[in-house]
Amino acid sequence: MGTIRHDHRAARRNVRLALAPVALLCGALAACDGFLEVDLPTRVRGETLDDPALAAVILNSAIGDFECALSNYVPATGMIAGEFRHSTGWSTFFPWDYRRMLPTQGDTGSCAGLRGYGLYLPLHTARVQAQDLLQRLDGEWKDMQVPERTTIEATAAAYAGYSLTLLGEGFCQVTLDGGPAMQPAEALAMAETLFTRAIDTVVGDGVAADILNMARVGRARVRLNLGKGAEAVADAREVPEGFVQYATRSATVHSRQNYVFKDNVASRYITVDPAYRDLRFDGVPDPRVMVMLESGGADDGSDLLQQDKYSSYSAPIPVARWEEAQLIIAEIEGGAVAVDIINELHARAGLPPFSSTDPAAIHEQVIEERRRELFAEGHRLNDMLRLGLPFKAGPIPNGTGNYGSTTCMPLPQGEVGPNPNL
Amino acid sequence: MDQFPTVPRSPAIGQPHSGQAKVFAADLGMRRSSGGVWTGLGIRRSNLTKLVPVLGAVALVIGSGVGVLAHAQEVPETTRGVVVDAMTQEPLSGVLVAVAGTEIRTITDPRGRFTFERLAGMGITFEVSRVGYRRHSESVSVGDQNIRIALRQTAIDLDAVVVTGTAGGTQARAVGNPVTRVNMPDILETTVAGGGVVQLLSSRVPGLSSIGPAGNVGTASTIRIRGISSLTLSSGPLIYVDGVRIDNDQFAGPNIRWGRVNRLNDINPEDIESIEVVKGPAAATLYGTEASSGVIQIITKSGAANATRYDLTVRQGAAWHVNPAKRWPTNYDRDPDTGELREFNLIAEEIAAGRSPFRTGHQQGYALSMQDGSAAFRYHLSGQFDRNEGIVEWNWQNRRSVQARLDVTPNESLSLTAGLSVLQTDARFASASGLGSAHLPASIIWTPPARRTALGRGYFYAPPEAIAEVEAIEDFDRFIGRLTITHRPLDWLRHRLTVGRDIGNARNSITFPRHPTGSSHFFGVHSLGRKELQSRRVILSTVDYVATSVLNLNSNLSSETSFGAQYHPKATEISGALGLEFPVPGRSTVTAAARTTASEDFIENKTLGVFVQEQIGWNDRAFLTAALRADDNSAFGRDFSFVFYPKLAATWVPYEEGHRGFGAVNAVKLRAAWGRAGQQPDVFAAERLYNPIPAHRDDPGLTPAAVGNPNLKPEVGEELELGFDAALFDDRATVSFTYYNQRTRDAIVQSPVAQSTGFPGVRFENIGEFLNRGIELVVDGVLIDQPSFNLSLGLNLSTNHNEILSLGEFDEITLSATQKHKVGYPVAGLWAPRVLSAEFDEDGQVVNALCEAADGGTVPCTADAPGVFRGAVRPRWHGGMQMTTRFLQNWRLHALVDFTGGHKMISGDLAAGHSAFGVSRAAVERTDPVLAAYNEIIGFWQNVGVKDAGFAKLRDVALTYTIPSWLVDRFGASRGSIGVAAQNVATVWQAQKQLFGRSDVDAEYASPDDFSAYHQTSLPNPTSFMVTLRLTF
Repeated sequence: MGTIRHDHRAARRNVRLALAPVALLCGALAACDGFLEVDLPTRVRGETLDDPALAAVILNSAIGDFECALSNYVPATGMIAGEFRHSTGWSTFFPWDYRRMLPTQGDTGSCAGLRGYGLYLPLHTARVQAQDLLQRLDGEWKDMQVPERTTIEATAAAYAGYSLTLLGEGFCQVTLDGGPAMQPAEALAMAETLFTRAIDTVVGDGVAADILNMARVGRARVRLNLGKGAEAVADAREVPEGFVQYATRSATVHSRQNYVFKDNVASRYITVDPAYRDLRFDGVPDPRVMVMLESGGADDGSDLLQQDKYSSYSAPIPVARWEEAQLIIAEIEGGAVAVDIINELHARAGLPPFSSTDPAAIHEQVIEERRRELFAEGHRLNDMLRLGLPFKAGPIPNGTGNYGSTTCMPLPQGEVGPNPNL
Repeated sequence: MDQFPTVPRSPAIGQPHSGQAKVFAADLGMRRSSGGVWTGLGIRRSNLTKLVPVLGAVALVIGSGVGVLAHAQEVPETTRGVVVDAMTQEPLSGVLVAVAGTEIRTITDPRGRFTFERLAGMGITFEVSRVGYRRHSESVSVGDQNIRIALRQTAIDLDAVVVTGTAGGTQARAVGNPVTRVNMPDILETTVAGGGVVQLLSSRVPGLSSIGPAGNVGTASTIRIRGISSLTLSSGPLIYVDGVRIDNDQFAGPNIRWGRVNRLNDINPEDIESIEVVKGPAAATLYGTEASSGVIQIITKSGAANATRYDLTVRQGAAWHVNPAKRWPTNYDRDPDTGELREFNLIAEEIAAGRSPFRTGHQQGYALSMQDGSAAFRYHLSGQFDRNEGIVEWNWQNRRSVQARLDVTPNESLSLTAGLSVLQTDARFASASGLGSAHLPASIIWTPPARRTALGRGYFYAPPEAIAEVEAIEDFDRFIGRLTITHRPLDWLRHRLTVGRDIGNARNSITFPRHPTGSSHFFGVHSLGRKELQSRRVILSTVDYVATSVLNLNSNLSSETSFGAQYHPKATEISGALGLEFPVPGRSTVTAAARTTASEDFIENKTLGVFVQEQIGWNDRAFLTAALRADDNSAFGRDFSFVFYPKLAATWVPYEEGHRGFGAVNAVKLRAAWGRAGQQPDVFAAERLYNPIPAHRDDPGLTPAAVGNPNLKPEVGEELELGFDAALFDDRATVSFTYYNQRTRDAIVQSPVAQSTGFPGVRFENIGEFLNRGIELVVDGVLIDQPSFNLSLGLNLSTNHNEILSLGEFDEITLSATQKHKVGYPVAGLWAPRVLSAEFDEDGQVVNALCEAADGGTVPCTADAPGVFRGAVRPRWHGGMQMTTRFLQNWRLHALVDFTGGHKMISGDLAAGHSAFGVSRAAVERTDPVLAAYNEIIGFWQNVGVKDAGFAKLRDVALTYTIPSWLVDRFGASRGSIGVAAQNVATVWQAQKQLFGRSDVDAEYASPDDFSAYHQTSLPNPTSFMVTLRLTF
């Protein structure tokens, strides 16, 4: 054993010596917060957004979020509605294609994923960002602090309206901010109010014609859904010929890419449904849906059919356009008005004219025109739901079992789980 | 108490040697004849050995075992001998040899030898002692030149010093927790070292489980200590090298499919003296925040005094995939024209055509070390090179390392240890990426007969020659520098400062070359060319100051008081670049691509902590320890400041070696400990954050990233441990038993945020509480102990019961379609619908399908059938059984079986075969109504793949031959051994071998990620064979 003294004085000194630095260090711990300062050079803290000088950036962000959501909405709902099918082994596409969407499956929550689609969260992100901006404009931000206030307000209202429109058209139920479930019509009615705000803001100020027309098409669209035919026609007639508002796309990052091009052409994850192959009118090929057969799809079990509407990652996706407004008029008015509109569209596409006086045949042709004219623009699922058209059913080609029963999309688990009101 | 015992510790512990060790000339050989007569000086050896023909190993055996080479020379002034380990017969250095009743003593040199000059008398008694070995008395004759003393290890080593966070460590007798020490040189003698540290620790440390296959060379399993210790955070233990914290990332490397790099594997096993594993919050309190998942302490090799020594190790071996055609499944479909059942075994056909995608990989390793020094200055220098090749031609890993350690002891009161490790790894992985399916197993496992004639010979996505063109590479450099100064200014005061830095630079890349045919090649758009590059630099710094004062309060009571402060900043700098589409083949840089994007991130975290600990000892028999630690961390919420972690521990040694015993029990230590440790939140988890993104028209924008929680605080693990260590039957058996009960409070839950708020999924909240409890049992026994033959057996068994006690206002939190946290069930438990029975009717329709109901009853199966609890995703029990035998003097045989079980997984390979792709026989013939019910009623294909994941493998079989000294002398060496070892020899048990008639390729398949029970398409762990030559000069 060692030579350690039995010394009570040493013990006391020992304790003192031991405690003094502890006290010192504890003090240092409290005082030296500087030791724990860390840099945050990438992310942005929430309070930064309180600055009114950032209004344009927030608006831009909201539009960007909507555009990302739309880029997912088009192929995802297109799979349920029979515009597209999966053409690969990636199981992330199965629930959409096989119409087997359960809350726990399908919606990935992100519109910038490598594979699969996210709609519910991205649409709400766009909506919340736009509505949050409207709230700030209504609240603490003074006019002087926000340059181009009117345009910003109208644009925010229009994009919030479109976000709600897609939620109301695609989902079986809609919730807001963790609240109780609403029927889709309630969401569409809120969209109508937002479009009205956009129109009123711009009309009063006389600027931003594109936003005005986008809001008019949007309001006509929700009014068609809500059965307000005359009001829808009135809005649609205001839209000038040739108008189109696009969701901008680019090749940069996933959230900016055109997902129809990415998944159908570049990655070959999905194929255009054979029902869209070789569409003709009176024997003349319809140039609005040109589908090419590519050999060697990612899944050899099915041919890969590629669309040519979007030929690059940066191909923009129409959000609202004159042709859609015309078809809204045609659907509601029917008769000779509808035939004229169909023929106007046929003339533009180089197709032979359509003629009929049978209201049912005319209506059917209007819906067929919508199927072709608005192919891969995110309308088909809503048309099928709105008009009660039959979904794909029976055995799945190149798959196991039968198609499921999904029509409208269920609320995803990301909403059902945490929302205390559900 | 005795802080500076007179019995010298092993060199690894860092105590300077004292005493009067003698160095022998290198050519003085000792050997024992079969008759037990010791032959003497080697001066005349050459004449004798000329008579012995060099006839290889057989001659070696005969030579060592029965060679009669009696020769003696009288040198009465000198008494010489060697001290060896009784079990291994390896020489023991640092053994104190004292002449009873005198002050005369010496210490054995690195070759275990001692010499006394001019001893008085005829017969004397040596008292022989070394830490970790039983004290031994041996009567000898003065002048004997050939004394051989065999020391038996104490079954429980109460005087061993363990690293506990205090200055200088603490004797095992005072530590209230089981600290497992793994002696790395011992292990390396009995295994194939290719798998790295992770594989070597697995199944040898009770409570430490590893999961996930490592058939992709360069990747490793993940390890967990005592189960999952967090609901959201990494449950990986902290890792220290000689007291300096290093990067413990278990999910590093490029973003390849199925398999990640474990940074623990960077450390070359040849550089390690020992590893101590500190388990659970009760033991890890002094390590504070981040330590609740345990701590792994790596102690590097240090030099021994007074002997220049060189060690050379050469490994050569092979790794191969056993019986691939039988293990990869045969797939089925029906001829579309005739309806005939067709079958296809891609691997069998490829092998028959001379095109097996698998090869035998060459494994090789070379290590050279040098050590020397004096009592005041010791050094250990080493360099290694390893190359391990995988079972596909494009998979390999090269590791190089250089390590230096200096131990300087200028005087009795000051010592200084400096270490430097430079490690370099470059690896190319077998699976390139999930992108574009450049992944061989996925191309093999689901391919139906219809694909046999398709492009790519039936490989589902791409044939091996195409996959071989896609490169996934990690190029990694690591530097670990450390300096420890230990100062003893006063008899009763010792303090220590450790500073160090771990800098890791990883350069990860995944390159798809441009193929001449562009996107119609196998990888679609990626075949236009794609380069993904990521540089990741992780810097951890350690500043650790500890002071310990020791004094005896009276003749019975001693006191040891420690205080300390630690500061651990960590910074991660990440930069990345992505290039898409090369204009022509042959380009491979991001700059050569048509479209490029870049990214950069910087993440920083800092911890500052202080502790104070008081330990009271009574007669070296009972110890009581109390400690308190306070921590602050930059990741805590703004409205939260400190966290305190207390600890209490007690030990009592009622019996110990050399003292009285009780019946068969000759030593026992009882221990109890209670303590807390923490786990910090993710770096920015407390903040409400927006991410910059390119928004509308590619203009800058911000998107919501995290809701934030200003009150966020660390998770606190609290643990009670009770146990004992006992030596039985005259130290021939040991039993170590521990019961642990951990409760993690304030567990951080990713409380989901409703998507309709516009914020992505989660908010971190301290609302969870869960427990981990279980036992750890280690039983070792020497069954036979004869000079020429001994046999020992060992068993370690650990259990883990994991259960969520609370999730705040939630009853459950969904993680995925098949996993959720639910109160009353294990963390991340597996939940999936279960079809209990079904029948086919006359038309072949599935009828009477019954599923398990949520309440345990039955319900008719529907697409909405409830997910019922199927099991935990981490093993509920695991362990190993080993056997070691030494025979014919120089032969040693070791075998290890490890086992794990009680958990479930989803086999994506099986699920997709039966369901999504429907290529199994059962799916194609539709013979099983239960499978048909899964496919046709339940729908979600993954549900078919739920299976019991337990297995047992004969992991290691190793035969080691110690080359007799007369032969190694011929090479100028002093010691040598040749070992042959095989790894992954056989699967001896599998909890569930088949699922609807189909088996996984490897029983060991599992997801390495706690929060994902899903696994698919890994390469199996190869079987390997290795010959290792070790020589000491």
